[in-house]
Amino acid sequence: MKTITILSGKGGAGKSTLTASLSVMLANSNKIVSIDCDADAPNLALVLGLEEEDFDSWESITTGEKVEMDLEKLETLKLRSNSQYLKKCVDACNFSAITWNQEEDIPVLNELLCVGCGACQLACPEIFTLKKVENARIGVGKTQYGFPIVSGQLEIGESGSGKVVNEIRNNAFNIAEKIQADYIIMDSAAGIGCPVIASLTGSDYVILVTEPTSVAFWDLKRAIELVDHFNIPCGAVINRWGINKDLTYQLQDYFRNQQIPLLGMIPYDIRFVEALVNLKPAVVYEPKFKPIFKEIMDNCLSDMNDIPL
Amino acid sequence: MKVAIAASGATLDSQASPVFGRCSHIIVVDIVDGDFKDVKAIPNPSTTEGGGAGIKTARIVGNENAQALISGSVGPNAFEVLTQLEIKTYQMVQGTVEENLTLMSQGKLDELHPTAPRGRGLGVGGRGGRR
Amino acid sequence: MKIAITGGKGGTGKSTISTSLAVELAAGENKVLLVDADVECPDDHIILSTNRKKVQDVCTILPILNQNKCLKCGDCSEICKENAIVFIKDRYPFIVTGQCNGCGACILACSSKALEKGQQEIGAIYQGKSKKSNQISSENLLLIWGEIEIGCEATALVVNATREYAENIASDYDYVLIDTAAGTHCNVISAMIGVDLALAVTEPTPLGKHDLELILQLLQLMEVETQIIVNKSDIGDLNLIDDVSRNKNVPIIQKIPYEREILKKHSRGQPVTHNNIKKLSNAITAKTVGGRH
Repeated sequence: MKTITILSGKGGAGKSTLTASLSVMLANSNKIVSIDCDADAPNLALVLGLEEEDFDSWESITTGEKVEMDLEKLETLKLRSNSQYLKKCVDACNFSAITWNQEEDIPVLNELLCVGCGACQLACPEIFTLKKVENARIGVGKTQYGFPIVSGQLEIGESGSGKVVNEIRNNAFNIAEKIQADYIIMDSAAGIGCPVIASLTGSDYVILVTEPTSVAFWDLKRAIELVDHFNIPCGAVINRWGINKDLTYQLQDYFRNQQIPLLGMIPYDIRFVEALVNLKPAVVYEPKFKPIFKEIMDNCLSDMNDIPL
Repeated sequence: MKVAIAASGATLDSQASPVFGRCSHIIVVDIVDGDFKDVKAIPNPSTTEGGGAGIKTARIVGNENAQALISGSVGPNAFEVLTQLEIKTYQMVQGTVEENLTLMSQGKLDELHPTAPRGRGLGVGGRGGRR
Repeated sequence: MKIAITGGKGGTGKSTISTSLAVELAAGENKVLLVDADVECPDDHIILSTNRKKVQDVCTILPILNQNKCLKCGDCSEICKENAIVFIKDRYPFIVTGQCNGCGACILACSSKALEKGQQEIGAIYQGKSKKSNQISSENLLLIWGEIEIGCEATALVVNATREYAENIASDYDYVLIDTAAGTHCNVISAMIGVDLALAVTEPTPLGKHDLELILQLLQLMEVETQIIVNKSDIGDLNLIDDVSRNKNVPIIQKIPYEREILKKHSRGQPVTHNNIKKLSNAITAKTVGGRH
């Protein structure tokens, strides 16, 4: 079983489009599980034609804690004019979640910024309690193309997307083991932060998706640095190559110099957008696109198999 | 020598695990003159936990006082722990735990090194994807 | 006035609209501070072709062990929610730097004060002025942005530092525009603390719609006045966004079509000029939006 992660740095470069079409193509002759690791803004299921209610199950999970402030005890402490003591929790919080209200002479907690580290509780144990929060849901469903999908959704305003991604991935790994899948295809979040790092952990191969725009190029370089940090082999795909030919050539040169195999190029075509609007993977909506994705798939698999274990 | 190996099961005929942090068991064996003594299988609780799985698994290896670990890929954080604990890491080959341990006792497994920058040809099993 | 440009989905045009709007506002003799709070992949300096001057390092706490004071009790390892401190009986605990989020709880938990506050660099803040002076009246527009160290997970901390840096100089500016990252989690939340208005940029596809709904929920929770901008408004199905606007009672303030010229400029990394962005800029300066506060 091998895990392939689709990554781009820049958002909207075509990760979900590529993941969906690649999944459909791979599923023709392999057992696969597809995973959406963008718990902030999960889109893969939609591209594969599944709306939230089409999933077989949704399960709430808890990956972290948040702190609660006891306002009554705070009031008592304030009356004892213990502001020196109370200011300790403001200093203890390194995430700007607790600020000092000058007028009221009390600390104020912004729960949205709390990461649940518990430092404030150590500073002022009387007023803070850590409590577990259900911060995400994990959905398991079956696509009409015959393979399962695991997706996650971070609850609004909750934190810990990296840990949520770990849970989504574990869930998918269990399913993959049960059905003895050949491949796990993972769609990651935009950026290079904690959810992306969490999706990279345990990946066997990374496909970097980019497009010929100067911003995507800049983001791509940061994404490559991250992939190198984790020492994971990778290949690249240039999406919408028609929108800027000069930059396309520059990207090709860049990949050659970096010794990153170019797995394939996807043209700019309005039918990709039409496919999205119709909630269909590009290769299903427009069979003409099949050879493009087949080439990417074949190159990816042969590159992966060249890697010594 | 006390050797730990990331495994997909609890016995010597289980497959060696290509993943470290989320392997199902850590099997610890004392290799004495090519014989495997005191075989111990420790289930890895980290398989179902959130962050830092590699670190926690490395800690299990440390707690067992193993001098060497056989595994597939090891993440940078887990690697840091193993290095601090002076545990050498060896690259597994596809096959059973027993096969890997035999190769280990014959000195035929490659030692893994921390992440090397791309293109410098260091490290094992990393940059193979690039030609 | 402080305006966040956000949207949930990546690639809808947040940076394109942020930079264009900043240029329009600056051209209208307003002093504009543009803050690129997408610290994982900051792009605005590419689009505005600014210089890149580091103005501040962003650091967070890194606990450092003083072995002379350590009792090998393991409390530090116990308290760490990130599993960044490894403790093995009868050995000194040690810190896995890459896993430490710099919360400092271990330092507070250590009864023998063996852990001291050290520092780890997690990113930097940069500022830039446009090099192409014919495009933007560079006197009126300053860009600042944060950049996180590659492989570091503390995105929200770098965003916080960038926002705080901007807050300290904000009084010199008529408008502060904050370009957020994609998504809805902590790094986006941190970027939008204290804004007067949020512009949610979306595209008329089911994905744009889905992620717009998420970001609108977040903005509602944060009690921020919000308007929708539909980018690439002539591709896909505009009804999708109209429905969200109606159901959530959040107005669509502007639509920007998918024009070849815009795409070309975007691909080259240049600020886009469009009549509808001028209209948006005018609406903001005339205070017909963002007037609730």
